[in-house]
This record gives sequence, C-alpha cells and structure tokens, in this order.
Amino acid sequence: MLSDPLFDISSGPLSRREFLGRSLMAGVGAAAAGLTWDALTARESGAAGGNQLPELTKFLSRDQVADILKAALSAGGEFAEVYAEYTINTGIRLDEKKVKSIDYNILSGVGIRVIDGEQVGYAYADSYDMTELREAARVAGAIAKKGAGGSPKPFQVSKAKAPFTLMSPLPVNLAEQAKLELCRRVDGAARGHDAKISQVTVVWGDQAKRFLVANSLGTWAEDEQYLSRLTCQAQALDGANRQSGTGRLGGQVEANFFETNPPEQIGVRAATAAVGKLAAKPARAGKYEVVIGNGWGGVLAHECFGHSLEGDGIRQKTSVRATQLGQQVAATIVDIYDDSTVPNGRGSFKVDDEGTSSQKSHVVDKGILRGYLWDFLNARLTGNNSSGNGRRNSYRDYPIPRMTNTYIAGGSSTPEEIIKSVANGLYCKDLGGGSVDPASGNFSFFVTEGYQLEKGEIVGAVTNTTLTGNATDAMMKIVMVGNDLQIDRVSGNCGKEGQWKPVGVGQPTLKFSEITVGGVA
Amino acid sequence: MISDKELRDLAHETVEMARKAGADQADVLVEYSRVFTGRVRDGKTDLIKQATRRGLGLRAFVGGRTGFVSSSDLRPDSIAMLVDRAVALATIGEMDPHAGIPEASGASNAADSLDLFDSELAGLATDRKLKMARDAEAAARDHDKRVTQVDGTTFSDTLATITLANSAGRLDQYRATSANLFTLALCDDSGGKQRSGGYGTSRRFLKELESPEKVGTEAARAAVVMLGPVPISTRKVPILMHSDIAAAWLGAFSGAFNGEQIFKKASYLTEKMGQKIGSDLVSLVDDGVMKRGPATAPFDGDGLPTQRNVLLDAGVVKTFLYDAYIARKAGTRSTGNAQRGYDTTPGIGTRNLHILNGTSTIEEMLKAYPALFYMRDQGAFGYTPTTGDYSYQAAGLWIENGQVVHAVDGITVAGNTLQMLAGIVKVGNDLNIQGGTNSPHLLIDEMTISGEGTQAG
Repeated sequence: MLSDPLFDISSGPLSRREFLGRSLMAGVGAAAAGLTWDALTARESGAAGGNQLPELTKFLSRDQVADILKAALSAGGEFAEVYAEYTINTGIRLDEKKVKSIDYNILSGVGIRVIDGEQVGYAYADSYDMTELREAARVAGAIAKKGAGGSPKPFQVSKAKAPFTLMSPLPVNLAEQAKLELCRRVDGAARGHDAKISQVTVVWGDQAKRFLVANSLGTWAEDEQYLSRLTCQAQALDGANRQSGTGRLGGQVEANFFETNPPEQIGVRAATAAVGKLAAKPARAGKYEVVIGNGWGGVLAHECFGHSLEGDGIRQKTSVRATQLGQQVAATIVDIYDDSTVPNGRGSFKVDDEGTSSQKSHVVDKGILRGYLWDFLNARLTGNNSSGNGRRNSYRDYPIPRMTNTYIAGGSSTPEEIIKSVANGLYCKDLGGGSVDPASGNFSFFVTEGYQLEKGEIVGAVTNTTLTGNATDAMMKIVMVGNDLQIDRVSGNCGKEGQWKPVGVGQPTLKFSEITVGGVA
Repeated sequence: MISDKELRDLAHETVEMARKAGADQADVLVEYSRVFTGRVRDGKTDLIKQATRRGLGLRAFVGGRTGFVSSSDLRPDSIAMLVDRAVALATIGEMDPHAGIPEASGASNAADSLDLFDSELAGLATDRKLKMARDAEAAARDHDKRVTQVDGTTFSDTLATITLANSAGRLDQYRATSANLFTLALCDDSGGKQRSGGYGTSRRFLKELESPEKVGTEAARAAVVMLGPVPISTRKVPILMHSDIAAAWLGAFSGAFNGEQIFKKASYLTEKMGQKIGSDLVSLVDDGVMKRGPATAPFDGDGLPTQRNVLLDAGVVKTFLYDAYIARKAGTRSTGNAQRGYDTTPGIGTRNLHILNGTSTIEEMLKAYPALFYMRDQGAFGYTPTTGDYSYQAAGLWIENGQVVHAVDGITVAGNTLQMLAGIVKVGNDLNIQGGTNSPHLLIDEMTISGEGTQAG
C-alpha cells in the first residue's frame, strides 16, 4: 500500500493489503483524526553539529558484534545478523498559522536475527547494553534446535559505493528556526493565493538515520540516509462546500535545497487544487479511457507490479507473478525498473538493510517479466542472489523483500499528444494512495486531483474517486507512454506486514485504454 | 526487567527534571511492553519475534510554547539530553494561551475494574501460542479442499505497562494484555489468480479469544466464496456491508466527529450538532471504559479519565470528541479522547468505537431486496474527510432473493457518508467487539457500483 498522510487508512479487512503511502512514518497512529506525521529534528542554536548522528561503533565495537553473533549461533542456527541503528526524526506542525508542536524523536537500538533453514528468530533491545544484547541473541537463536553452534566468519568491510553523497544533509544542517520559516512561507503562499482558502496545515518532517549491519558470513556494512519532506494541505471553503488540496517537496536533499526550490510553490499548488475542486463534479462511473499523470502516478507500477515481484510471495507461490517469468506481462511499450541508485531518491541507499549493495534492476523489459526483488532469506532458499531489496522499518523489525525506487521508463509521446488523443475519459493529475491484494492482483488507487477529458480537452474537475483493476491485465492496456518520466522523491511510504519504508515511485504520463472508475454519476 | 515502581519513578523524575530545566508545565508518558509474534506455515514454525520494548515521551511547556521529545534510549544521560532539548524546543514557536496540561481533574478510572490484564495470557508459554496458530492453519485447510495454501498464521500478544506523570502531581499507571490470532486462506482460481480470505480474533483475555478452529474455518469460507467472480455492470443497488467493511467506514467517518475538525470548520458535521443525520436505527458510541475492551484505558493521553461518549443517538448528532487542548480552545470540556503513544503528542482519537447492535439477522438482510451487492472486501483508500465522499474498490457476492448468485470483483462502490447514514435500512445483530472499531452488518438502500460499461441513462 502507498498512502498519503492526508487520507485515512481504514482499519478494515486490510490484513493482506500492501500499501504505498505518503507520510514519513504513516504507521504511527494513522488514526481517525487524519493528519499524522513524524517527528522532525529541532536545532535551537542554528549551528551545525548539535544534532549529528553518533558513530555506532562508539556504542558497539566490532569485537562486541562478533561476540553477539557467536551467542546468536550457539543453539545451532545457520546464519546470524546484527543490525544497530540510531535515528533522529524531527517534526514541525504549523496549524492556523501557529506552531502546534515541534517534535524530536530518537530511535536507537539493536536487532538480532537468526535463520535456520526456513525459520527465522528475531529479537531486539532498545539498548546497547551487552547483557541485554546477549539475552536477545539467545532468544533469537532459540529458533534453532540443533545444539552445537558454529562460529561467525571474520568481518570484511563492505566496499559498496554510495550512488550519491550529500555534502550537507538537510536534517542535521538546517536549524529548527529555518525549518519553521520554510513552513511559514508555505502557509503564507497558500493563504495569499485565494480568499476562499480557510485552513492551511503545513508539516515539516525529516529523518537522519545511521545503521550498521554485520552477519556471520562476514558482512560488515554501514550506511546513513537523510530524508526531508515539506507538506501542505489547504482547505477551500465556499458556503458548505469544502475541498482540500495538497502539495509536497523534498527528498534526500542538501541543506540549501529550498534556496533553489522555493517552498511557496507547494502552498500555491495545494491552494490551487483545493479551490479548483470547489467546482468539481463526481466522476462518471464505469470503465473507460484514463490518463495518469507523471511522477506520483507511479503508485500504479508499485501496486500493479512491484509488490507481486517481491521474493517472499515468489518463493511461497502466493503471488500471481510466481509463474510469469519470461512471459508478456505488460504492453510492449512498457519498461519497469526498481532502482536504489536514483540520485536523491527516497528509496536510494548505499547498502540495503542486510548490507547488500544498491542496484538497478530491469524487472520488465518491453513488457516481458525479467526478474524479481530478492532479500537474503528468500534468495537463499530459492538459489538466487539478493537484489538489494532486503529492507526493514527499524531495528525493531526483521528485513523483508521491499521495493526501493520503482518506475516505468519514459516513452515517445508528449503529454499533450496523450491528452489530445482522449475522446471521453479521465485525467488523473494526482493520486492519494493505492493498495493491492497480491493473491488476486486486484488493485485500487485513490484519485485526489482528477479532470474530465472530452475531445482531447480538460473540461472540468472531478471529486475524489477510486480507480480499480487487475494487475494481470491492466498493464496490457497501456496504449501510450509519455516522454516526461518523473520520479517522486518526496513522500512515498510503503506498508507491508506492519512495516513502513520510504520508497520512490515514478512514471511518465500514461494512457490506459480502459480502467474502472468509481463514481456516483 | 524494569519494575512498575521504577517506571513510575522514571516518569515522575523526568517531569521534575523538566521543571528544573525551565518548563512551567510538563507531562511524561512511558511505555514498557513485552511483545511476541509467532508465525506458522505448513504446520511448522516460520518466525518467532520477541522483545521488550520501551520508550518515553516528554511534553514541556514554557510560557505557552510546546516542545516534545521522545526516545527509546532511557539511559540517564540520554534522558538529561532529551529534557534540555524539550525545553529548548519550547522556546521556538509562538505563545498559545490554550497550550498546557489539563487543569486538575478527578481521579482516573480504577484500572482494576476495567479488567484489562489477564495473568493467564501474561504467563502463556510459547509452545501453546504456536499450537493455536498451527490449529487455526489446520482448520483452514481441513474446512475445504479448495484451500490450497494458508499464508502465514500468526499469534501475537502484548503485555504493556503505561505510566503517565505530570507537573500537576498526577502519577498513574496501568497494565494491559492483548492477544491476536489471524490466518489467511488462499484458493487457486483461474488465470493464475488466487482468492484470499482472512479472519482474526483479538481480545484482552486469552479465554475470550475465538477458537483456532473458528478462525481457520471463517478464513477458509471467506476465500472459497470468492472463487470464479463474474463481472457486473455499472448500476445503483442496495449494499449489504460486511461487518469488517462497515467498521472500516465508521473508522473513517468518525474523523468528522473530531472536535479539532469541528473547531476548524473542516468537518462536514460542523453545523450538525443536535440534528438528525442518520437513520433511526443508527447509534454510534465511543467507549473508553468498556470492560475488557480492546481499546479501553483508564486515562487518556492527557491523563484525564476516559468515558463513554454517544456520538449518534438514533441518528441524531449528540457529541463531538475533544482532548484537553482543543476543548480549551473551543470552550468546552475534554471527552477523554486524547490518544498518545510514547513517541507522539496527544491527538483526538476514538476508543472501542462501534455501532450499537441491531436486530436483523444476516439472512433477513440478504432477503430484504430482490437483488443486492454483499460487499466483503475493499481497497485501502477511498474516503474524503472534507466531504464524506466514499469511493472504494470492492469485492463480494451478488445476491438475488436471498441467495448467492456469484462472486464479484473489480468494481468500485461509491456514495456519500451522510446519504449512506440516512439510507441504513437494517442493522445486523452480529456486533462482535474485536480491535478498536467494530460494527454489525449494515444494509444501505442504494449506492453506485462501477463495473462494466457506463450507466445506462
């Protein structure tokens, strides 16, 4: 599932749904109240250095990690892994022009995983205390029942190359006052855009994370990731007619990012969408031509393809794609990548959460399925190699196969040509979230900014509506691919098994010959 | 292990440290919990995860400004750093006369009388937990030979101690248990597709969990009925909402009762207090003091006592929900609805939200119209908070004269919450409290289905 923080995640029969979401940590209490966001960092002085991430080896030496791995293997497990993490989240919420809160959150501890055959034992400690960690190692290791334990191999420090390096990562190099000032600029721009704007909420969220992962096969890898996101929700009010719009900006960016990317644009974007929807009419119900805009529209590839390629569902044959390798699964004009090397991407890294190097996987080539997304465990059990897709929410979670930045490659049509080609259809400029049932392939996307198309022209806004289809045939119905590929680096958050993970999504403008559009008219 | 007394001391001392560091008010929430998850597949243990998890959140107020910090690292030097940071953060924003901890209030509800802690569950051995999961998996397979796989049957439980202290002298603590058993059955269908059916049970007390046999059987049934779906055309029809679908809907639209959204005129219920918006059959209750309730707590995230709130009484709007801050701003009283984890600031939420049980059997509801759609599954997104518009991907059963004709998927169901509430013609007698939001089955007179083609006329 992919979600937007501005829309609720229902609590119903979603146990198997996989989600793509937009909030930084949507898992935390996405309750009825609506807006959730995570904490952001606060630096009071404005001087860099007050908020830097500590070196993890200060808390945990290599010898201590080796000691924990040995303890974890003592019951006979085949593989043991230690994952230590220090994460700072900072958040600012500006509501009714006032700072409602400034939040600072630390998440720090160590997770230990032991694998024995197909079995996984996992334990963690919110601590670096060796007594607690040895106990956690014993608890995780108890999954194995063989008795005699092996020894971990000597560590080989990973030589993985970072796809990009931030010289001055924003979360730890911009003062809290400066982050707050960005929020105020967005607020002013949204309110100043139109007198009908009645409410504006601006949320700043950033995350600075450093981790080390080491295992009994000799892997030793460290990485750090920095996410920043500025979000605006504006509400327009006209009598009893209420509509809202959103705007967002950020990514893994430098401290000076907003000097060249004025934050005002997202206030204007949110206000424009909200005011535009005051005149919106319900979408026409039924199955017809649909154009999905570039960038965040990539939620489509995420739900239709990405989840069903993840190695757990492939190994267990619970995914509809398990038998489709080498087969035509999308129109021949469609190429799909999962790529953890996208510059400044939200799902980019040097190594994944198991220590495997980032890579670019060409999973669908001219419509033919060419590969899957593997983590260590599922790759090992099927005789494959990890593709660098082993990811976890935090040290409190075991790694599972996950997407990174997933996108449909650009094609040859201009967006204008695509819109002009539609006789009577829907143009989806922005989506909220999406979800998929990987067993059946049934998916849905929530359209939060849509327009009716008639005779190749945009004729009017439609109220929020849902698109649905089945992944096995929807991708065959792509009939035009735009030349305007854009990868959303700002806000994708993917949920699976209760774990949320930042991801990128992307696509060019796409036209489908038909998709089912929800509506009341 | 950290003792209950040590947790109380930690909460209290952190409040005192914040005061010494310059906060004129402060409150602290400490969470300490033991968590377990065991998963089985094909009769074997697939995953065991367990840990003791802890965290502390501190709100500090300095002259009407608020700072919030939280951490999983409870070492003394870490706490000292956090306290300083909270006070520093509380100098950045602007003065808000409504910010601050609640004024002194009455005692919180006695935790013991709410019956939230099951010592049997707290002491349950791992082997017994895994056996329940194995039994549920076996029941799913045994129920119907068309069940080809069971995708991970999970038993999980939590034993949590929640401690709250504030600078007005409040120091409260309670312990609570909860357990959850869930399974997902899969059936092979044509075209390489599979149909899934899930069922779970979630309770505070081990003895109140539904049996593994029931969990497995219900999951298998839910999967099997979805085999061989047939497309249907776009049309307006009566909708029978499965209890899970109804619960998801009310979880979404309960946000319209959120006092903050009301105060900001962002809710479509803003002008509706005292008005009849729903059918006579609909009464909606938020109940923080439900005995053994999955979402019951003696006090809320502000440290105020929780209570039972009637939101809709026979269709009439009776109550909006408040925490201390928004209540102060709106000139009303808190309804005890501040929700807060250790790492979040309080916000308004519901507890044990449910539609009161009705009188109709599911059979009666299926027969109430010559034809109707029985909605049993939905996508994750489709509700618009500002308008109450409802537009979800759906799957379920096509019913004629009370009989299942065929399964349906690949459609959407759309309407508007106010029209849907007014259009409820029958409320089921099947309310089953599991998890935080629940509903009986609901029969709604008319909604729009998008399927094949576009609507005639």
